[in-house]
Amino acid sequence: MKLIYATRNYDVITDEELLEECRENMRVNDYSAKEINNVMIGSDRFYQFVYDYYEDWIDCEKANLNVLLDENIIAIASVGLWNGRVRGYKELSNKLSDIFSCFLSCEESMFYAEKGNVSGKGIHHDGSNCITYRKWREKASYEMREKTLDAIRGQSNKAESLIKRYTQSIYPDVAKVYGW
Amino acid sequence: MSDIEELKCQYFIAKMCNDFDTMVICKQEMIDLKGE
Repeated sequence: MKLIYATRNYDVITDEELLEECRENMRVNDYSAKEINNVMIGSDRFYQFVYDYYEDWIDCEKANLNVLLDENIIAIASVGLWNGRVRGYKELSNKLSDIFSCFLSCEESMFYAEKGNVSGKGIHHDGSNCITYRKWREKASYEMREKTLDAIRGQSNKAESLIKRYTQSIYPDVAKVYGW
Repeated sequence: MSDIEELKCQYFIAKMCNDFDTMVICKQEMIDLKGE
């Protein structure tokens, strides 16, 4: 799995690693040895650093993925609602960084690339959402796109073949940015 | 759409989205349906 971004509770970075980063950051900014040694996991300065660290990380990835694709992105989702799981989709613009706009209602979120696709996971108070991002193929006409979206909504049994035929992975576009 | 087709569709979307919990539930429901 290739990670793009994960919020803190996914524990991708341990508190010990964050503390080391925090101390290194203070060293670079000429804090005294006493002040650096006083920073502990759980201290106010540590929490402020962690908050800034994750804010900087997401801002950085939004800037990295500020790339326009030739076609619009479609987020295909398996969504956990209070009354059960449903499948659905969200049509996004052709800007890669738009993938981050899908988990605004989630307390935790994670974006990654795996098995040739770019995906995201999010946790909210009712359950979890799982999303895979694809983009339309150039040859997909308006009618074909509508047919594919209908299939995702559950009005046809051809979702698999339609998605494969009329959408393609955005992995190559993201891989180009990160040099994977 | 029949129940089994609906489940196949749900399973495919779950697989595509790496939603492993839903995949397991769909698989079990498909087995149950076939058993009937």
